[in-house]
Amino acid sequence: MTMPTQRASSAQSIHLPGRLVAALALAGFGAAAVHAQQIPATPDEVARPGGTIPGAPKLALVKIADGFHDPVGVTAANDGSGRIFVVARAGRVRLVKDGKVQPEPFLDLTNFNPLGSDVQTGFVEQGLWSIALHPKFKENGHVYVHYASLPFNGASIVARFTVDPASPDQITKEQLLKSAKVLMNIPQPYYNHYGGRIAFGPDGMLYIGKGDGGWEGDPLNAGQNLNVLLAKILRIDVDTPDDVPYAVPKDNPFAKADRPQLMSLFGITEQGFAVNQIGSRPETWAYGLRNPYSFHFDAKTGDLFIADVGQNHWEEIDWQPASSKGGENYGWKFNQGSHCHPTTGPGEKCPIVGVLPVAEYPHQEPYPGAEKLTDGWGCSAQGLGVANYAGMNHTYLVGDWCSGRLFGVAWDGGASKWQMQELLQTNLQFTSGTVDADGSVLATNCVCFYTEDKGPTANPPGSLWRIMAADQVPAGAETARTRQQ
Amino acid sequence: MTGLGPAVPRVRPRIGCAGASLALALLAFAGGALADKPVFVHPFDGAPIETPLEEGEAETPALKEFKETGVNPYRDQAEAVADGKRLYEQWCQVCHAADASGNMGPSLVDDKHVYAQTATDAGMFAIVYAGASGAMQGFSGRITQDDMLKLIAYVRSLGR
Repeated sequence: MTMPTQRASSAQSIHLPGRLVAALALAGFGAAAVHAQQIPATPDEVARPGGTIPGAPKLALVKIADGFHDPVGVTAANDGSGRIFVVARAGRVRLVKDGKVQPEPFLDLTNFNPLGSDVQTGFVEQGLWSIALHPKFKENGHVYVHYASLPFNGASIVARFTVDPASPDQITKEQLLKSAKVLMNIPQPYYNHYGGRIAFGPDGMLYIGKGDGGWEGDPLNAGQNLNVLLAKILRIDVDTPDDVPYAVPKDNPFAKADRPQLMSLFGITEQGFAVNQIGSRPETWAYGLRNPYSFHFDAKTGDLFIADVGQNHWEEIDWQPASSKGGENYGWKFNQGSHCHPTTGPGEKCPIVGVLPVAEYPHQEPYPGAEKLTDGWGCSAQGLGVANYAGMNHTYLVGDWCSGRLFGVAWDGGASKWQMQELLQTNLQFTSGTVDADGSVLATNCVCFYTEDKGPTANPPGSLWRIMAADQVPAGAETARTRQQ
Repeated sequence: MTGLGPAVPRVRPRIGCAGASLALALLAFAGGALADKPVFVHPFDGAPIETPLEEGEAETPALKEFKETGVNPYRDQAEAVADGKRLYEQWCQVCHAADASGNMGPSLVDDKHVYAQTATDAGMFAIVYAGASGAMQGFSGRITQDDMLKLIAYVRSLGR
């Protein structure tokens, strides 16, 4: 158990990888200006709804395609094909090509096993969540998925499949079986808080959002336990021989924690002892997370945003600069957002453990017994993507699953603080998002709320949307019903 | 917080009532005293909502009367309210709480409405039928319109 520490992080060291320095120079930005962001040092520096993001436009959601069964993930092709991969919770990946949903799924995990589907979907948080394309997908055809396994009693499976160049729009059952490579099998103690999204970072590593394993209140203390893979962002190197599932990147923060070593008791400082993390899982990149269902990199900077789904009262948005060396502790279950967990409301006192979020928003009841809010609230933060268009710069778009609100989170250089602004409210139940090849943010919605879930193929269908400036909506386009703030 | 409240009533009176004040019309709907054909609107933008029956769905006498008058005949009808309770517990309770004071979803009682039109049966019907925001998706096609009236009758029985 890591002890709570009062860590007030402010000016972050600036250590830009060479590729970023080059990119920023080309873009004409000064590195100091771009990376002036600071992680909040105190709770009052954490952004909440009510802020104003400079340049934030009036937005609209334009429908790209519909008819999806519980779409809970989406990824855009990185091979120039313009294809969009929509993840259906039941265990299929649907392909949108030239604006049309292809009749056959790109990938189907429900029928390759003669005993039935390979995907556990009994609870709405279970299913196939995500697909990620290898950075060299165009050359090697590798795709990676993350799902709850039925044969393994709900365990998280991370697996790789490979596209046959002769069949670029469909991985057939035969090809699936021939090319399958399982990278990870993470046992799941309860049927909720899986996390879900997997994505490659600008460094070519695969990042995996993994929840605390469920129930509520993190009964396993997974958030602060470095010896388990739960409640973490994991980072692995997938470029290994076929008989090696994955490798731990040498620069992971706990990469060397488990190496055999001689014990030394004397002549070591307390600081020296404190960095000894024997037993820590070396795949860990960040920890202290409750349910990081979604996270996204800023394509312009390499910065990472994490939408960590909260429990009863607060949703939090975390941020780390591209220069991060990992190892951030986001505080769960000692903190939820910038608040105590369990929260008691005004006047509560507790240590802030690890790194504060940059933004947070409340549920309808921000603390037990609080007067219910009539506006600005939600229940489950779904990160959609980082927007760098239509007047938005490095703005993380976050949709709420309950309230249909679309929030923006961005650093306000003029005011030297993070801002969180409700950009609009929709009639949609947001589930996921990604950044399309053209830079615009895409979003999916389902009709699959906890109490309404009738099964991943029985619920009313969901849709795929493009978030764009309202004054750029093409004539005749179908848009989501919205309420502008 | 944005500080924006549910400022604009979004239940529109029929065109023939245009001369009357909106507030008066709302009061009339809320009390169920004015037999007036309701116009169903979405709470976001006040856009009219059509409420066609599903294939094979019956227009019960109660539903017919409601669509002609805006008055919910199931109010205070014990059997219908009991049916409404069953529906509420199945579909609504987890979000809106057993006493409808709100949980993940907003309160449906005591005038603490996120959407002002919730105060009238026609306004609440429009939201149940077509949805509002996020998790409050429309129930058309999932429960019958007649059941929606029973559900509303039950919710009204709680707010007393």
